[in-house]
Amino acid sequence: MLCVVTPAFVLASATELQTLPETAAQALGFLQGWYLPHFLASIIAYPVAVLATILPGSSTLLPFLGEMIGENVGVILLAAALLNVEPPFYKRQDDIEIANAAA
Amino acid sequence: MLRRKTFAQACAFLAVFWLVGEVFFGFVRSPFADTFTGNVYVAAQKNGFVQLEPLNAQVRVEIIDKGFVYDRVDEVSKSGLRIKFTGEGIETLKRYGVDPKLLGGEDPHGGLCEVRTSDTRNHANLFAGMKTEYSEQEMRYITAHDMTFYKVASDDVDCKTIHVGTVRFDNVQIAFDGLSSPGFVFADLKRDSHIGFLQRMIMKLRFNAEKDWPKFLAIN
Repeated sequence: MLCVVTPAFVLASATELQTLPETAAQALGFLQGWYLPHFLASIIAYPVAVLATILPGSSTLLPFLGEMIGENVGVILLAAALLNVEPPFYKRQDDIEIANAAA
Repeated sequence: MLRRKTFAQACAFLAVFWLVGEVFFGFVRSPFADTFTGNVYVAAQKNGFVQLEPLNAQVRVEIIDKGFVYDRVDEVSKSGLRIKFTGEGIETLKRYGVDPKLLGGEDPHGGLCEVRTSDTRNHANLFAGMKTEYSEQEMRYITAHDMTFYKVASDDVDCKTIHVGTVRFDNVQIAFDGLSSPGFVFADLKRDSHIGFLQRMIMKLRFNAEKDWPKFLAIN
């Protein structure tokens, strides 16, 4: 999930002037720049491109603000922030225990 | 301190962030760096007046003014035009000496012209008189740009000379000059925007033709 969402945020502003295959090619280059194995990168390139097209272009402001401090700082901070978010439909362990105890 | 956020909290933050970001870019982005489309004419001098002869062709022009967040096109170093002609009239354009790479190639974007020199004039006269589609009462351009282009490699597009005139926020005119035949190829273009709705509305509202002249394509 993280490997899809982070590059999608970075590429969101670039999709205006590009077709989907071009964005996918750009995503592939970006992922390989982060030393992701090629077969894995080629699988998730198109999901990244689709998500980048859906996201509003101003999403890229988020990694770019960190990128002003230094190279790759914004991408790392964004990845850390995304890790800190619970995925949808995720249930906390203690919540389930409380529900079981109530039942 | 940094408590784990739920998905809903993250979405709420992003929604606010997107709204602020869109408003910010509406104020920051260059108002004419957008996509424009329109019909193509051939202009020729007749009895001292420029006569427009309609051609069964359309043109799509993407004005690219390289930014840090938006308008990042890999091949463009600073600013450029991406031009693609479509329609039946492209055979006539081929005879006029327009580069075939601009005339309906396989590339969905057409040919790329990278600006080498751009001469900007304020309140310039209209290229082809007042018989245009979208212009209403304008007599003069806000700014007109006379541009020449890089042609480094042999397979680069030969864009010759292109003039771009900005009429209104939604209206730009373009003339392809320096062709093999006398006269020039002209197009009256209407904004066919690739910019999001909120950004475009803010750009339109803050746009003031008297004050902020478009700085796009001005590289000198």
